[in-house]
Amino acid sequence: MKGLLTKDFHIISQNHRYLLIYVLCSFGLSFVLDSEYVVGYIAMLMGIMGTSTISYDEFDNGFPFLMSLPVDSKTYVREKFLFCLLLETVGTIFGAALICVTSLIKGETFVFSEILSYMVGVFIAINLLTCCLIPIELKYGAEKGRVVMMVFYGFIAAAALLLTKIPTADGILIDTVIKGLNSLSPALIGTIAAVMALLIICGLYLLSVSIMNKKEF
Amino acid sequence: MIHIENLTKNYTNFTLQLSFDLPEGKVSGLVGKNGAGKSTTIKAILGLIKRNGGKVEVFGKDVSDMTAADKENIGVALSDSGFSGYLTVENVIDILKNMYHCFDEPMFRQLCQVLNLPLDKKIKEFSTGMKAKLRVVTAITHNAKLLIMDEPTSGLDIEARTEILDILRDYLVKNDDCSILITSHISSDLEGLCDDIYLIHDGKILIHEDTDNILEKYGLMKVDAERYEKLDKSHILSTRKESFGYSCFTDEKQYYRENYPGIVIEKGSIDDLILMMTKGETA
Repeated sequence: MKGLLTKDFHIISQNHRYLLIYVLCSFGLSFVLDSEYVVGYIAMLMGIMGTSTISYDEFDNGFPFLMSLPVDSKTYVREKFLFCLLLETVGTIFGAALICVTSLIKGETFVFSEILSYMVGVFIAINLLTCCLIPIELKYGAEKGRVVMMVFYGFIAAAALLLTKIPTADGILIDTVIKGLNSLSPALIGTIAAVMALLIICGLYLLSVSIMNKKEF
Repeated sequence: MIHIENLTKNYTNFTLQLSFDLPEGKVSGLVGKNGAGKSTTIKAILGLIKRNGGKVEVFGKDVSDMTAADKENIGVALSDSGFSGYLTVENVIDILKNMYHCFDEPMFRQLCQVLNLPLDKKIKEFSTGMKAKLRVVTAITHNAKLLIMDEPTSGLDIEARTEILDILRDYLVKNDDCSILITSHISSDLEGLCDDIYLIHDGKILIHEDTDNILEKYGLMKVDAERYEKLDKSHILSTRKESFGYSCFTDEKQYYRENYPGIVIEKGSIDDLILMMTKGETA
């Protein structure tokens, strides 16, 4: 596990130029976009960088050698989930720090608890999205994976659009959901979201392990 | 070290079906033409493919039950797979340090220096020979008890081949209980290194013989049609029709030398073994 993490850190550190560009873009965006978008942008970029290490492993038929090292399928998958989680944590913290700095430059006041709630919400959402990418990359590889990812994101966008249309067609369902959520405390909503995300991530982890176990190199 | 019993792997147009053993302290060579099943066998030993039947044991354990600790005792150099080309040798050192408990960093650095492998250059910028040397250095610097080398000298010039073979010989001298399974197209590489040779063809083992026996007892006889008719064929393994008559491959060249004076018998080589047993008409 430690060896795999070292490998992935070395691989993404090769992209330090891109990382610098991302930092500059994020800094620019933090002046024009809402805080949650900036945190989400940075966390998502870091998550995608994490999953892209699978393509590096696959590049030039690298998998057979990698799997001949003291590594099994389960450890490989676990490392990918952990690596993405680490990068997203760094991305989220960096995004939050950037918002604080921008607010100070703009002379605005910021509420730390508000930023913390952005961080938690964005971290959970982005982590879920990134974890969905891992089994897709493992199953379809870098090339086909990109197409499947686009279909997947399209599906999410369509589902979100459909959800916004429901109130106009029949306001009952969405109203009930909103009323129900409003009656709960923010801490409870956060806990429910975190538990649900954790369960989905566990499912995605098991799916990824099963994909890797079926793979032949 | 390795025990394979009736290993079966089915592909659409190819079936691998073989058994073999690699005892402790031995060096075995797996030879055969392209597509004969050498790399598939190596992959089965490393658990990289799912077998359809049979038993594959490494260190007395089924290969599917191998733990990370077991795998630390295996050094692998594959012909077409290695560390990502985006890494440098310095990165590889860092990875191996965190991957293997017994990684010998001073030895790795020393070998890189001897073999002129730059530490800060990306692997994708390496020549074919440099990549091959790095694969072998990676395999032998963590005190492995079993080395699995798939075509370690393929595509290399004589100088690079000699360097790689010398590294392997040195490793054997220092680790006399270590076993090596090596595949190669270049017979001279195997003749100087292997204790025994397995000839694999169409997914099956055709011959298993000690290297010394191949070199001492096997031979290639060249005879005209008239002499061929009178020849005792009980020790002829395979025959091939030639413009001058027949080439006959035997595992008892001394017998023919004594009983057929004047017959032309060339010393057997692994190349002849591959060529005659896979192209010739077997008895």
